[in-house]
Amino acid sequence: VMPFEFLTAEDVAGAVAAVTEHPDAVYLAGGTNLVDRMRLGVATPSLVVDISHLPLDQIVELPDGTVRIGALARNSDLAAHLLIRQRYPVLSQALLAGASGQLRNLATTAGNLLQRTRCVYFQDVSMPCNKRDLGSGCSAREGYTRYHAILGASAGCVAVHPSDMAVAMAALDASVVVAGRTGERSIRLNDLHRLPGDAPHRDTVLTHGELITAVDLPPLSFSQHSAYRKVRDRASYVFALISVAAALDLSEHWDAGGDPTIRDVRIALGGVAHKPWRATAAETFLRGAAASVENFREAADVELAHAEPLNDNAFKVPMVRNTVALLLADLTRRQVGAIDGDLTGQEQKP
Amino acid sequence: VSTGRRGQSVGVGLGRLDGVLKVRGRARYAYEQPVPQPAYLCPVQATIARGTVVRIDTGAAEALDGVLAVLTHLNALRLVDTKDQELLVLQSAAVGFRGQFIGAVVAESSEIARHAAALVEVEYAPATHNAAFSVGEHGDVSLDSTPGLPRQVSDAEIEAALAGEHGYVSLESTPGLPRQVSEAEIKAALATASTAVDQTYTTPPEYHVPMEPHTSVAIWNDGTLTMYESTQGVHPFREGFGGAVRPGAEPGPDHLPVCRRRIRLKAQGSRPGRTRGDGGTRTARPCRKGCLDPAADVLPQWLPSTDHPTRATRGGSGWHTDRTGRRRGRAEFQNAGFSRRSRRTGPNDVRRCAASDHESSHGPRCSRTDLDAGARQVPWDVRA
Repeated sequence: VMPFEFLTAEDVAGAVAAVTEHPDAVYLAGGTNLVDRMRLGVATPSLVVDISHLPLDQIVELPDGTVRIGALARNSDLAAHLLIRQRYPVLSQALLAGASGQLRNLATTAGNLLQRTRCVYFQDVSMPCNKRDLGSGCSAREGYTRYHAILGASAGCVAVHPSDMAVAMAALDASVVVAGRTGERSIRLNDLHRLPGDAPHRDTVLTHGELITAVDLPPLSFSQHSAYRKVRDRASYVFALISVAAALDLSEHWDAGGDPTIRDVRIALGGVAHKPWRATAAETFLRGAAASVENFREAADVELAHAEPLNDNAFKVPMVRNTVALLLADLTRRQVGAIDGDLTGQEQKP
Repeated sequence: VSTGRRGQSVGVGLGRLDGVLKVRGRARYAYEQPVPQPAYLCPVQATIARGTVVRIDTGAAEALDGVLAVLTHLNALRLVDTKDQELLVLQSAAVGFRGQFIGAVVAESSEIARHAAALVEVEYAPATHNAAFSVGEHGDVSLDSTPGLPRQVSDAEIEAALAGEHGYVSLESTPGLPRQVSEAEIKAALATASTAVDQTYTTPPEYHVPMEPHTSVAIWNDGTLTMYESTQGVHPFREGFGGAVRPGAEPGPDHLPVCRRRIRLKAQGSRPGRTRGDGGTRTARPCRKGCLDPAADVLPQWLPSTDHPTRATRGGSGWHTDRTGRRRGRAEFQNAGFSRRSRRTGPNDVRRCAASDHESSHGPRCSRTDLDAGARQVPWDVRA
């Protein structure tokens, strides 16, 4: 760890001012990612501004039905919150699928959104990495890519965003409230994270010094019909190979013997891109279509049409297709009790 | 284990000497051994797979307040017995694998040691490394990648070799053991079986990562080196390590590596020993000659980042195929399968494979802790 200055912020404005003034200052909240990176030499801030004690940990419902989550609400508290469990089960499940109990007790909501990739080359300062050191090259391109992107990557970076929580929030169309030097602004979560392009060192559209103070979950009539599924190399404490967050709204009446119609649907994918991947093409395909396994698979294929797997991760394409179909079939079954189509003959090859 | 009288241990219920401590959570890891005012050591690790260190600049590290010594191959203790390759740390400029210890900083605190280790600048002359599978004379796939051995082959060639008449996979061709059944023979037998079970089982990558931080405590005192090590094989380690450092290990100006600090300490003027009140750190006392107090205790601290390169992992992600063919109601042959370790076993293994010259064949050179938590914390002494 390189020596650094440590400042305890007194309020949001003071914190924002302190970080904005120092070109390489950072905020410290839960510390579950920043401190790791500092120990690895990946992060070498000269000033650390502690905001962990600021009163930003409330979870409240606003008059218009929006649920506002304080930036410093702990992952454990958010996952266990009654409002979240009842209204947004996909978010609660996503949180509980991430990290470990100890980490979730420390990790904060905004910190989770702003955590950085766990690409092995990003975390190893002796290896070239455009995200850590722009222009040095991408080691993953010719290296180990089991956990890397299949969508939206660039020549310079194939890393993925590691969060589970953010995938659920992307599906729920959340937005973040951001405090800056000149005031407050709101950014849709789906616009917060960037694709790497030729600037992979920037994970988000935030400018230096901007501080996320809250995450807003807008009301969604069918958000209780939602779920999260994470596929990984072992049962716990590992990042997703791929994950799917989905919410499904079915028509109330359907012909006996026929498939129910999909009124609305939300799908977001994790572990596939530099950002939580909102599957808008799949959603468009499914809106108004019959809720059948065949359609679910086809919708996934529409989304995956531009997938570009790397050496080690071609398996992600069928894995996404199968998981999307399974999760949406589960949500359908829960609402109508049955679903047309065979789920046993999963395709194994891309 | 406390045995009874000699020759009476078979069939007798035996208690472990450290059993009571362990079940009560009071057994100490090596790092937790109480040592008054220790110094701390942090390694500098190679960032190339194979080559030579041509320049190592320790100036910035040495200039840092609280740094007691910076060890490199240029000033480290010379071993008298170099038979055990695992112990050949800092003995030459050669780099044999990525993550190899090529230097170390001894400092008053762990934090200072780590910071200083990051300030050591190293220049290498890299050499070509070879980290792919090779196919031996008889078509066996070998993990050995020593230069000079047969050319590397592709996965496709391995598969082709397996499918051939004499194709079989063996991690080790042990002379004298029967040849394993070939793929062709398995196929032929299965083709004529009335019923066949052909099932492949796979395992995900799994690592046994010790709970214990990678640390040792070394105490030099009156010609005796006492070490607390996280090894299971206390006696073999004592023999190997004791042999390697004896008799040159006697603490003294000519042998103790930290005595290289003599010049600098003299330039600053020898300071009397000082002790901090926090009890957690120690400033080594310069002795009469200006070298560090031979009784200075050193706590080498293995960091998480040093974990994988310095320890053999048993990667998973292998697969095993069981095939059973039955004819006329009885088993003709069973479990004539083969198993093979994947060439890619997980992020760290892959990185090591891609970067390492000889780890894959011999295991890491510095591995001392690839052992389970069986019998730890048994101190042992080396008489110089």
